[in-house]
Amino acid sequence: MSLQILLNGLATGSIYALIATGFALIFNVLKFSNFSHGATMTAAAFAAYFLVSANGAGLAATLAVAGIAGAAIALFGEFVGFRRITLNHSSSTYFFVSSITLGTLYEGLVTVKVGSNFYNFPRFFTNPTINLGDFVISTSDIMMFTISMVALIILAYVIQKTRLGRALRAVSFDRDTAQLMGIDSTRIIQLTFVISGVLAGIAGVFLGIKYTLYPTLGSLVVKGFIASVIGGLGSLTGAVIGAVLLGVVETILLSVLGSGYSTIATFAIMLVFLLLRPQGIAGSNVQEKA
Amino acid sequence: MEPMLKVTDLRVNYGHIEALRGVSIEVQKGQIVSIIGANGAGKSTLLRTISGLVKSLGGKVEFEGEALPAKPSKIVAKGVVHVPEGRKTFSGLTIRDNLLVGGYLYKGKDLEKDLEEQYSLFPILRERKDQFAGTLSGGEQQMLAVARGLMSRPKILLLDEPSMGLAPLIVNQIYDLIRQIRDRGITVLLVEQNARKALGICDYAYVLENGVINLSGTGDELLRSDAVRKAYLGG
Repeated sequence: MSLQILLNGLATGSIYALIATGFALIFNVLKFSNFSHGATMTAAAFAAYFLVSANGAGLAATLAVAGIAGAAIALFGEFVGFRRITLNHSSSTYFFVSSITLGTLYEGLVTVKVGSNFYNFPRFFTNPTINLGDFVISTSDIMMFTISMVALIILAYVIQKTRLGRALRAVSFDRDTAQLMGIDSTRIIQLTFVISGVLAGIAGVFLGIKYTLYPTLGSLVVKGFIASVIGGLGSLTGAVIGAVLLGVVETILLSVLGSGYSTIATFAIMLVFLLLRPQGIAGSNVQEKA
Repeated sequence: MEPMLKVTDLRVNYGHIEALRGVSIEVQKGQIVSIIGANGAGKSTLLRTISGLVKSLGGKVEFEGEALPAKPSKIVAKGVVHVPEGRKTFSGLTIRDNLLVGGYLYKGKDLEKDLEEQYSLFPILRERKDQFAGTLSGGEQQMLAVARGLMSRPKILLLDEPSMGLAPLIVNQIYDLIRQIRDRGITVLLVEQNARKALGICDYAYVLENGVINLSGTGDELLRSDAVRKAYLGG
């Protein structure tokens, strides 16, 4: 296996990790799979494209706008789609329906705006590749991997070490009890959506750079779902490990089997994995003890 | 003397079920006040309404002469701290993190000092501070739940069934702790099915049956009352 393939896999995996953690954060706090996450990525990436990139702004501005747009969309979704049913302690079916509805709405809005065309982010780097001895490495792969890892490390720090992170974890375990400690659970849930939205925005831009921008780009969120299931639903560490594994395995399969069979093989591996270890890599940590 | 906590004619419904049908109690500062009653009498509902988790249909809850705010998080800030039934420790957080979550409203050096205070009151928690709360035994989890409540700097601590599911020896330890907490100047409102223990420790007690207070008096008075003995102390 060449270094190029490995690095490519790591870059892909790190995007999946951004998706998977954004997804797992919401799952952690509200115990439902947020199916509007994919469309949030697409909408945020398009917002950044039209607001800044298309006017010649650079990568930093694009990522910033995508992050802000993602956060705004996620906050909107939390308020319109989830607030009432959260306060009512409704069953997860309501969240499921609500998130699918929101996702379809976002995707529809994007399609109305852009049609079914493909858009390309401008080239953010003057040198698309870097030569490292005998290896040729894509500059954007290195950039995506680095930024993703930095974002994830910051996230891990916030969640593990800060007061807000502890509150977020407490709310994830038990919303009512957390309120008895003076934590405003609604605010913490909003904060979670903001973080998840920022991650979605960044991931959306990265996917756009890698595969071009199109209205159904968000369907790649499936890879994030898979990663977080492999990792153990709700476990952030598991989600990152699952995502990087998935990215690397997928890239290797792609180079060995070609694009048709590699997709099939990826899903087959996931099914076998679920059969062998349904709780995921980190599943045991997440299980509640009575 | 004006009571610290005064609940007047409190009414709460769960759907069509009347959980509380006009409950009035008073808690004097510095005392332990117990509420005993059978399963489903409305004891937990009463505490959950005081701490804001459940909204009332009518009636008043006054603390230090003022109506309490609506949000649970604001009520805690006033010094009304509820340790819920079934401990509800955050099983996937370490013991230290559980305690720090309890002290969420406070920051900096004071928080560290509070933490030290809990560790000296509950040495077992210091020994295990980096373990997940889920690994603790039932009695230890109850201690953690109480310690976490103390981290919120209560003026009054609402304890819901602290003896539930614990061995007699552990129950005695918990009750010793409740006395120590009261001796530190923290008022305690204790809800219990274990009537003998709850009446033995308290300065004043209420008997809650089907959402109404049927009887009240000092712990000794109720322990000697025929009605209480028949219904709650096994004859």
